[in-house]
Amino acid sequence: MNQKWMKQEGQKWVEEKIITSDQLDLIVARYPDSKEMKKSTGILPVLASILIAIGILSFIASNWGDIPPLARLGLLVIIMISFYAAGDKYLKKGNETLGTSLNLLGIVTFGASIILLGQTFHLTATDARLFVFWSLPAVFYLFRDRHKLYFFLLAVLTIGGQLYSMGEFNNFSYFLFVIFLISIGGFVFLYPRTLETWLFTIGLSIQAFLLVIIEDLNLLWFFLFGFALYTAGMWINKSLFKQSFKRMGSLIGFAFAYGLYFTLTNEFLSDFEFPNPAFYLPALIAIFALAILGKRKESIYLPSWELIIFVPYFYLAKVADPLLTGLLYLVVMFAYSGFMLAEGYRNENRSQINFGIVLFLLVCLMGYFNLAWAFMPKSMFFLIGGILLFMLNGFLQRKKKRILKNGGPHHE
Amino acid sequence: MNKKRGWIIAAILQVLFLLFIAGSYYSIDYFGKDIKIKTVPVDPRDILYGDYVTLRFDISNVPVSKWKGETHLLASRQRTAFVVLEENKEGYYEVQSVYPDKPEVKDHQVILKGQAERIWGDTSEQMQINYGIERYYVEENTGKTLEQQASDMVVTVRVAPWGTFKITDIKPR
Repeated sequence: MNQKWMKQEGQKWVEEKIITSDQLDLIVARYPDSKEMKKSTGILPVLASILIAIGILSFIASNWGDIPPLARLGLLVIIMISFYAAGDKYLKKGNETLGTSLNLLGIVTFGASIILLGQTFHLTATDARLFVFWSLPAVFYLFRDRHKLYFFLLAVLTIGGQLYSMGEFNNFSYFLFVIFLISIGGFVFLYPRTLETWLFTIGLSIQAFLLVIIEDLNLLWFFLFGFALYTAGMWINKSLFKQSFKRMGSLIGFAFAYGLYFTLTNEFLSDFEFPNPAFYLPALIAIFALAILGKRKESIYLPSWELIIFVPYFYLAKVADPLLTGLLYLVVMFAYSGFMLAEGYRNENRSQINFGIVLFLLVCLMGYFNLAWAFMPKSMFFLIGGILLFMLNGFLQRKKKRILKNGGPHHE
Repeated sequence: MNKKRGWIIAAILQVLFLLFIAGSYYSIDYFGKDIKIKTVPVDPRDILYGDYVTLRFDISNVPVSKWKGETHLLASRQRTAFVVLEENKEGYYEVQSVYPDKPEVKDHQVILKGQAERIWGDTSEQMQINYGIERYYVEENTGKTLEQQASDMVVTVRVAPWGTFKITDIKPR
């Protein structure tokens, strides 16, 4: 709604004696300007400032070699300070988007300055320290303004820095991880929002995965992380965390089920390694106990079938045939996606039905691949596989439509 | 209103940090001590990469026998090492020993901090040490002349009392 337009229209009603002008003011006050209006006009100055910044930067970059080192330092400082000052000015004026983007450019300039000066003064990085310093001003602005742009910048800086640390130096930066926990984690904990919570969950999982890779731990530790995430989802009282933690944990569990199924059913990967039982087993048992307790605590929300994906069947490979264990994983995945579908239909929950359909089709495809690949000419295989998938999808979608047609509640 | 002056303090801190980067570089000039190191040939594939020259020094490869820590500390990954250098008769500095922790040294010795890693090649009893000065940034497209001589040069490194060091000069031998 646009207040200006309402005032104009309302003026006619007042003149026609439909309402009094007091009533008009009350009506107009009820409908504040919607955000859409501000958004579309707010994006242009942002783009303009980005273009100008790129222009300035490329101009400097092309003449970089001719500028003496100290002049470079001065130039970078001036650019950075002017971004911050302009950002502050516009924020005071109440132009939040533009002010924030200018501050953002200031932070980006700060990071670029560290890199450029490091090059000028022959400094070489030995770890991801650069990203730690780079993210500090972003942390300050994030908690001062609580604007989500800083949040996304920090997510990029911390996770990107961690990836850089792995690629360049093959080590895990605990400093960066702490900054990630404090800024990203602290922020979503104080002001939970859906997208931000998901970002935190995904970022946490990425870093846990990197830690497992870099420290050369057994991959099954990451499975344990997924399980722990899921269990934490039960014990945390914030509903947003519940959802993202459980979904992400289940996703990791499911990915492991798939990976293990694949590993165990291929003969050439027969020597399957287990993590150190002295540490792994107690952790696994503890998390399982917590999961069972959490399950009993909130039995209303949590269907017990969700836990079947986390049962450590892989230990069966020690006593039974690995191939059978692998096939057991296929069965478990089928059961899991079937349960999810059934539950979605029961609750008439559209997103869960969709998720279940995708999972179910994936499992079908996997089983089909493994079984049919060996004894079918390849072109036929693809043809039949495609047709089968179409049919299955059509059947499931039709069933979904029939269920949802009755106007059930849609928790999208 | 905490929005008033907070950003100024934050900006000043950032400027100070940038000044610190520059300052740490320039202060080596005032307080540092020059040492001369010889370069050795580099694998020609990774000499020039855009705007810097890759250097290798004769102190980059050290026999494992000079490692003064426990052998298992030199596993397959890099670890911090303190390299003690001494001047030889020709005036070049050479590796005397390598420690896992900062050792006490005599006045005529110099410590460089680096990243040591055991290398398994035809000579398995070697470790490679990265000092962080293996990349010498030059102006764009001026590296070619240096590149041809990079295998046989004298590098002057200035070492500050607090341990940082930088290349001040590169000359053909």
